[in-house]
Amino acid sequence: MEFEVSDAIQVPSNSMQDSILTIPLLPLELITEILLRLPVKSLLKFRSVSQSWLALISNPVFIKTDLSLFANNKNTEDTHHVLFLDIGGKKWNYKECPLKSLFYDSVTVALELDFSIENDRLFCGWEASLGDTSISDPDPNMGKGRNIIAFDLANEKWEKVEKPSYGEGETELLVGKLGSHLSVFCDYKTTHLGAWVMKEYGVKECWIKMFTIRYPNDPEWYPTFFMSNKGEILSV
Amino acid sequence: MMSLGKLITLKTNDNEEFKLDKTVAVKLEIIKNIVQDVDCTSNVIPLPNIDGKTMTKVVKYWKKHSEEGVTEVQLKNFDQDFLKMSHSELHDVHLAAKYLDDNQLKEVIIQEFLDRIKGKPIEEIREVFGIVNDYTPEEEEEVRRENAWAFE
Repeated sequence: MEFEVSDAIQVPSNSMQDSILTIPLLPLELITEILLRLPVKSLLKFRSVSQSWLALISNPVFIKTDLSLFANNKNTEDTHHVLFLDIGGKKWNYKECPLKSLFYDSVTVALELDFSIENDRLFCGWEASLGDTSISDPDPNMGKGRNIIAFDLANEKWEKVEKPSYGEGETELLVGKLGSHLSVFCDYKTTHLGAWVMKEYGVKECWIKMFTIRYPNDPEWYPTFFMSNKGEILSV
Repeated sequence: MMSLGKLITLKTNDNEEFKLDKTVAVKLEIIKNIVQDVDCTSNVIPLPNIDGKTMTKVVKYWKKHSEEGVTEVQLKNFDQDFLKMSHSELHDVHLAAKYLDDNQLKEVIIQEFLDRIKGKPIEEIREVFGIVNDYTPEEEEEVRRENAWAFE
């Protein structure tokens, strides 16, 4: 390690600079750029490097920049989503789109909750078609009946996913994605719509009933639901 | 406007001169702007913030990356070799890339720093960044406890 005092070049820094931060051998600006690219877990760990790092990582400006970088990188995947009901033919259809897109995009594309990619797996329900993807068809036995099947993108193999233990009167409607979790929407006695969410992939016990929504009586009324990234639901 | 010579000369703050093919040089925002805006008859562009030692590295990187027919694998091997320098040298190249507005080179350097600290214990991170631990043992224990899950 060949550090010399002359290497500690003080660069006119941005707003992150704070008088209580000592000037390290690498300028804060560079350290900030490096830290901004680290996952949250590493950042928390690095708080114990020194008091100046703790101050830097806890700085609201830093956190804000980190979050916005994160949001841009992640395609708004984990930010707020809007769910809304759509009558397509004879059945109710849930569609979703990122909340951000309603404000910033000229055209908002709402996706049907039909198949999704999570944990390097591509999920599709019983009715989903993979369109013209180059993925080979699943084993015909797996496709039989109402199964949730997943395509493991790493091994390029199809696999069956354990289904939730439905309550009495519940019928599956479609497989989809809520937030970043695999979910199943089901009908309860044709009066309510229920959503099951698999909190941890591959663990049957991790299926959780997320919410139930009463179907609207008035067909002209389309309820809209907002879901935060913490899974809170707001119905308007 | 600059005369239409094929070569551009970059002059560092310690008077070292680098002759560059104009097609390579104008890819960079800052050089392009100087070429367009300044009435520069001598074809020499001064780089007051960069020294010769650092500029040698930058030019080496540019030349390799603008080589015709160079393959991905060759570039990868080159980068690997190129990045074998001390932290302070890396930092100098990063500053130069920043000044020259070369985002690609900037990213490469930052990625190298990330690779150097990835998965390293706190003690080694301090060493990489030359940081003196200013926590008392009790304070450090406290911060570690608060973020215990991150150490798992």
